[in-house]
Amino acid sequence: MAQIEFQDVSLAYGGGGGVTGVDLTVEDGEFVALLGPSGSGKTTLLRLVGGFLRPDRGAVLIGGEPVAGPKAWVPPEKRRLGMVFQYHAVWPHRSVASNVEYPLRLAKVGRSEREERVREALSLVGLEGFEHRAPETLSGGQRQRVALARALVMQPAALLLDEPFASLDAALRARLRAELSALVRRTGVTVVHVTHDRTEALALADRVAVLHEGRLVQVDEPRRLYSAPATPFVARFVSDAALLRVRARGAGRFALEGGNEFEVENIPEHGGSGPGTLAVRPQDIRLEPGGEGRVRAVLFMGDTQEVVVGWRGHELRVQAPADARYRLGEAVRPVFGRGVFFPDG
Amino acid sequence: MGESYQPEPGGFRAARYLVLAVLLGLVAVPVLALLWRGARPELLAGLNSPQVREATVNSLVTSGISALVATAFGAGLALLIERTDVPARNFFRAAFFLPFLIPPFIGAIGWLAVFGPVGYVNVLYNNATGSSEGLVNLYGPGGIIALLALHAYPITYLMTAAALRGVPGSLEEAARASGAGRLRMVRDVTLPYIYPALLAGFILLFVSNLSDFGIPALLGLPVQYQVLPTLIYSYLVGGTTENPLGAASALGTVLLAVGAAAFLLQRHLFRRVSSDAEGRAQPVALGRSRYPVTAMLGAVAFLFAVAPVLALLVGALLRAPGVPLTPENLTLANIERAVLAPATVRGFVNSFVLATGAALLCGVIGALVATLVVRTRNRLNGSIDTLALIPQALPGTVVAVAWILTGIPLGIYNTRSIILFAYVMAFVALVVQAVRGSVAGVPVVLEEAAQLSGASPLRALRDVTLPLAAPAVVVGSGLVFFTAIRELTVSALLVAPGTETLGVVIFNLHQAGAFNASTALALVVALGGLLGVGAMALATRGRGVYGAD
Repeated sequence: MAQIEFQDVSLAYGGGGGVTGVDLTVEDGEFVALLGPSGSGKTTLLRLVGGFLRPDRGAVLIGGEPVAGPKAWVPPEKRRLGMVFQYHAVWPHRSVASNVEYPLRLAKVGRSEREERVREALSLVGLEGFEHRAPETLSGGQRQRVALARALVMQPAALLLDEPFASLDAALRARLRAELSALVRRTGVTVVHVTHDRTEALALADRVAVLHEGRLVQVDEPRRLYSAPATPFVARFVSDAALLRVRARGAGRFALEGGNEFEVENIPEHGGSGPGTLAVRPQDIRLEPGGEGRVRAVLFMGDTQEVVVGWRGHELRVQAPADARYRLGEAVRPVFGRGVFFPDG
Repeated sequence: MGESYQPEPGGFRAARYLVLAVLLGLVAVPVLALLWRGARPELLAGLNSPQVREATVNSLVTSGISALVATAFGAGLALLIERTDVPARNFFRAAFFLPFLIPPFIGAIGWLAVFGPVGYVNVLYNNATGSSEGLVNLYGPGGIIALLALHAYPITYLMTAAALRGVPGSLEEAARASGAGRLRMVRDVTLPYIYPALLAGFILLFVSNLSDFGIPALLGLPVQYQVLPTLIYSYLVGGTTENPLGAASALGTVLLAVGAAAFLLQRHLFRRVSSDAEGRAQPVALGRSRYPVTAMLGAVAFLFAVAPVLALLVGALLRAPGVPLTPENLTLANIERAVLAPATVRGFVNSFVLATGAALLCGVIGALVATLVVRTRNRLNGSIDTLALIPQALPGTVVAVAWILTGIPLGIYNTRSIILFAYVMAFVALVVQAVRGSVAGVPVVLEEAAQLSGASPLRALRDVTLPLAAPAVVVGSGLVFFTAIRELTVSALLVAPGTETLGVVIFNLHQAGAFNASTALALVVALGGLLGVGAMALATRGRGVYGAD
């Protein structure tokens, strides 16, 4: 178990995916998710920890020891890390046991201890008795568990997860997610988890680091990330907020470009006045009958429904109760319950 | 992402320099020796003789027309068998692939048994009409073109079939949904997808037909119809010119230039059309023409695949050429005598040793080249790749002449080693191509997982990629073995008394008029090749390339 530290790390990359000036500390035993759209640099950060990329500038430290930096370089095989890849990188020519024991074999662990630890690791991921199965006879979820057992068998300094559930179907993804959460709490291992799925990041992580165009834009606990986004980008990416260009008039009153005024009932952290961006989440908008808004689409989601409303040249996504009925073209009036204001500059 | 920018470990560098040194010795040195000897103004000026001009024209005509015919036929056949609802598809695939498994000169001996001056067709025709002129004359350009095309079209078939598998069904369905009929869809969507493959295939066949020695030697030399490879052979073996090595080198230089130009052209032109669209294409219904088409395919398949083998069989079993086909005239004595003759045994041993050595060396070098080129980034990789692949574009005759020039100063001329080196140069590309796709198909994450488990990059390669690519190395080496053991073009120029290969033994028997013996051996080689390839296909079945999902 160890702390992982990025110190002012930069890596330029041809064609996107580079990172610039990243400072981040993942504490010992902490679960941090790196969240961002594709090309934001989150996989690059993970591969910098793994040792598959070398930073142009800055340093990467594992357990306080520099593993990459101006003077330091430790190759991947010496970093004592466990990693699970998106496409379950389980070796097809080795049995389950032989996959899991491979790191022990390289570390020259004796045979009886190897068998014991393989059994433990397999039982940890719920694959008791699968030792002699061939990977091709396993389902996608089982293969991913084998990869997880292999990553954990050496009691690594940290566990790196690169979109580990992306190739699984939705139901299986949800189940493995819950299992993973319980498992890492039980083992206390430090985890860095890369994902573009915000639900996954919010559900699993102690802290979420949001990346945008190669820079860290916010590192926070899931609840804070959700309620207090640091930038309009975070608000839209994490909570689907609508972004409105406005001028703040004070006391919860805002004017759209073109002069139309409207009111927001609750503005946390008064951001000041003047021009800026107002972010409003779908669940913070209510619809009342009559008004300038027009219903453009209704998407039934089961426990709620998503109503898309055209309003004063903007498109608002509104999370409405499932029992309300809306017709296409119906006139509605959006009422803004809560918004976050980001003044320009 | 799949890219690794970690510093390269020392083992890769050592392997790279080793491979480069071996390829320089096996490929660059002979080619440079040929250019140094052949590209001299006085020699190239000597090429401007009527004899050389005629052979050049003959070469271009026979290989150009045969490549065109083979491309059209192979592509049409692939469209019919792979993309329509014609029945017995697997049978047709196998039957039409058969000519590819029989070496051209063996096939030529078989076809001469059917259509030659004393072949069945002409004998029957003459007996029926009393004429002394045959019905069909295989000798000369017509026969050469026909047989070259016959042995070449399976390559086009394979390339077209592969390209057809890449045509996403959804693109075709989109054309139908937009209002295109079946033929219109094939013309507007399917064919544009396979044009690059057809063009690449045509160039490939042109070069390979330009290089062939066996067919023009068997069908052209008896009527003094010369092409470039046979002319070089006449110079070197027949002693028809005063400076045979100089003249052969100059001609070899010309052939080398044509081959290299075609190779570069093909590399430049071959761009894979790609799309994200998915789905398997549906077969096109033939409707009312389904059964006539099937009957026609069956007849052609019988003629192409079965007739020459049958002719070889009958020719080998008959007591003497031309006697009536009755049970009492059939005997195994010919085969027994031909197979057990000391020259045959020697030829077989030589070919077996050479083919085994070539398979092993090509396997090791080819696997190293493929792994380095796919898995590492280095400025030298391009040169390594080109050095390993370019001999494929060189006619076998050129490889042989280049090795004569290299071997004389090294003192290995007239030994088996010179043939072995020439084989490795000529065939290493087969392994590189077989293994390259296989290594590329092993996801990099599999190696990265091994590295994080504590394996060094070389160890990861050994524990993960090597076992996964091993079947491809076996297939590539097997291909080298089967090609080398039945080879004629290269060894025809390199053999000395005592080092004759099986191909040369059969060729010499045929040239000497011992048709019974040559036919018997040709049959053995043809059947042996079919069995060998069949066994290899069985052995590697189910050990496919690793799929990431």
